[in-house]
Amino acid sequence: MTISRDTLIAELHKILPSESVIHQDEGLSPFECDGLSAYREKPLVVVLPESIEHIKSVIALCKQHLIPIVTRGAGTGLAAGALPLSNGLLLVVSKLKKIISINPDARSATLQPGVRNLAISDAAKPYGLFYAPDPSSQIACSIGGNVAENSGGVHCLKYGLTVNNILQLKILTIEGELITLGSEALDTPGYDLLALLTGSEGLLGVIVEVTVKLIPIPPTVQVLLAAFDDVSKAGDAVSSIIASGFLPAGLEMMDQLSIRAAEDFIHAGYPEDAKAILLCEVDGSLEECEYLSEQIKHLLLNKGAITVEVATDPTHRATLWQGRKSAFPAVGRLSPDYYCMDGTIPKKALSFVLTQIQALSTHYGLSVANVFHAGDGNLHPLILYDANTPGELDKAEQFGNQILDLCVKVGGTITGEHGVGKEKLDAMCSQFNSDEIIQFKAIKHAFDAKELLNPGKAIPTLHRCAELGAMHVHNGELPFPDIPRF
Amino acid sequence: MNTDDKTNDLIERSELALSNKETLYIQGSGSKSFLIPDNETNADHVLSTVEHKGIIEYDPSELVITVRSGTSLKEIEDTLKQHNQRLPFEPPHFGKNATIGGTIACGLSGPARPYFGAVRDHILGIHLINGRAKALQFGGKVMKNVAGYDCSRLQSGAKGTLGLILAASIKLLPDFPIEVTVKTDCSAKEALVFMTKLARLALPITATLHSDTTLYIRLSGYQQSIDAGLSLMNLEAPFQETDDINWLEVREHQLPIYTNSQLYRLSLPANVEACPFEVIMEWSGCLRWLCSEAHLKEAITWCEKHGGNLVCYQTGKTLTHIDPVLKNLSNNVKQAFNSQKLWNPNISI
Repeated sequence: MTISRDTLIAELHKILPSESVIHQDEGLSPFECDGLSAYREKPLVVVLPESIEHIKSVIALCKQHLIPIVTRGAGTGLAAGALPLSNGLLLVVSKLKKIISINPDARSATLQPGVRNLAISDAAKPYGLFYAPDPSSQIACSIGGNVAENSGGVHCLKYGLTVNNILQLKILTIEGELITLGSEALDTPGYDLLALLTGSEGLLGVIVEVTVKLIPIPPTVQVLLAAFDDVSKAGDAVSSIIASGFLPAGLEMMDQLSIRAAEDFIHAGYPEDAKAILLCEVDGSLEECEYLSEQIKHLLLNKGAITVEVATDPTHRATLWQGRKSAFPAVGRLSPDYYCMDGTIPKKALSFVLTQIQALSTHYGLSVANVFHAGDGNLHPLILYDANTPGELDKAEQFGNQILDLCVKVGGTITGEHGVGKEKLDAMCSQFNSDEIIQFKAIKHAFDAKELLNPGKAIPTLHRCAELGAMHVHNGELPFPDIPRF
Repeated sequence: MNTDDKTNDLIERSELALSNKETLYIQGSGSKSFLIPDNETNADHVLSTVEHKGIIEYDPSELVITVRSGTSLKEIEDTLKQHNQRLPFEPPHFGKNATIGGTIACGLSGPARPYFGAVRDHILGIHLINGRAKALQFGGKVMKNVAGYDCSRLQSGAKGTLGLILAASIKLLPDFPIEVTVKTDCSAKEALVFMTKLARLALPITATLHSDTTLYIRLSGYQQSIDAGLSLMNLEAPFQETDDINWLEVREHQLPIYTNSQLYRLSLPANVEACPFEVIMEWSGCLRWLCSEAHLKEAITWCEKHGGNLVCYQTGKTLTHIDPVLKNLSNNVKQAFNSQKLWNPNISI
């Protein structure tokens, strides 16, 4: 940083309306963390630009004076990806919330980055269309953040992730160049930089416009609720549904602690004595849904479900989903704090992983509730702890990291949809070796050689991994031999 | 020891080439070599992937297959068929030994692409030798994975300029119980109106083709959905079942309409009006083929005006405008993977 904070603020006032520059201590507080509140830091200054031109000017200023930029959307991220830097500027795009256009015949919508996820589907509804990715924070989270994190949700098995549902991005590079990636056509010549930017956690560019695909709203939706007296049976039932050729729109699993918490909170009508429940959503024509519901019900009963209930009317269906979508706050009522993990595993490893998590829970003396996007293997263990008890947050983090190691060991990944952010930098070292991290760094340099965009997030330094000593060892060679060890 | 696993050989060959400052041209079965102009295949050595083959992992309940790059599409599709599953992007083979590595590198998808996504949409993980001759693993074998930059999808259509694909994990879908094709007579303009209307309904359409004065639509899925879909479609136009089109021939460009020596590919947004020149339309109008040079100049301008791109299919050359800033950024990305031009040094992207 080559100028003082006061000079920076004065320069920002020259390019932005005064209400778009926040620098007083009390004004900065709401921005000191994102959805992962265990990590907090006050930025040098917060800016709330109102146009692409504003962002361009801010980037130019930061580039000139080597000031790091952290971009933030709605701040709902769960991995501290939008955690401010004490020596950096926080670029908040929440004022850019205009739906630029809805094109029903092209089945697309063009949006400013601050448009809320749910607002897209709300705006598309009169045309019989919707935007498929539906992270549980969809009421608040914004599309720019969704792209930066490659957000998922409960319908990814059938409809894909954010990367499968966007057509075009406009980004500003650190050089201040406005670039269009992808196009409204189905393919674009050249490298698929649209895919590379999606999920890049604000490290490669600032997203200033997004064009998404819209999908026809299915005429009929039905939800099956199956109760099991054993978690393994529920896991096996998930595999059987997929192997039998069914592709549910959503397939979710909850364990007993989650079921009871959700039931106490929402009264969704879940069977509280069940060890696990499955929620299976099918959609399509009425005839197709009736056929699928019948077939899947039969299969679930064959696989040991105690009861299977089919919700055909929208209110009943919404209630069943409400229980699942409220699982996090519901579990939050059981404990002063909880730590939400986000590993993905092959479905066949489910029973093994859940047993191991239970053993870890006993070892650490911390309870854990499991909610699971079962159809796509995305596990969300919620570790219950009390931040006011000294050492308990550390214990919860260690427990969490061990769960992520376990996910990698069974062929999965450390993050399915929440991203790495600041939170999972250590876990990255267990999933990627030094050569892979060097490749990630080279990509970063292709876009941002001075490392001004969200530095210190998403990709760990080689030094960090070496100190952890948790990386892969290839061919018996010590990882990072060129790095001093202590 | 699995004799089909040539990972170590391929790494050694690339290490040797790198240390000798030599370049390598990656070749699978050669089925798609017609997409690369001759002068772009130049390199010190050709490195073949065809011996590096075989299915590494496939469990139908995971809806994922992991395969070595030299595995033939035929072997993969035959295996999936046994478990009533399919590659969702319906890749063209263009040759009986076509490999999955070449399919990913060329980024080619078939008739189902607009309805189920492209190759890139289904790549979950990649094992790749980069330009530093290092074997790297990106992505994984699970559907949701956001750890690190998405270097897996990036390989789709990169034509091996970012490295040699050793293996890939691909997302699958259940096969369709039933498939029906219907047709109706209509002009290109009418066909586009139908296809736009139909695309806004949740119908089980999995392929379309308009040629001359006939629109063909393939519906796939459960009998119940197809019946329900057809009743809605017949409100728009009189569709009748037909077996006078073979979608395999569409996928493989074996219909006479594709055999013209000059074939230009127009990729367009949805809901673009009819072309003022004659084309064949697939992908609900998003993919159009111009089979003559006569209207090329007009087609380039028209395509740019409608937000599309036009590529000469035989040379891979994009004839519509490419933003120079984007080109520069793409070169930076190429440098990041392949700075010493170890891989496919002359292929332009």
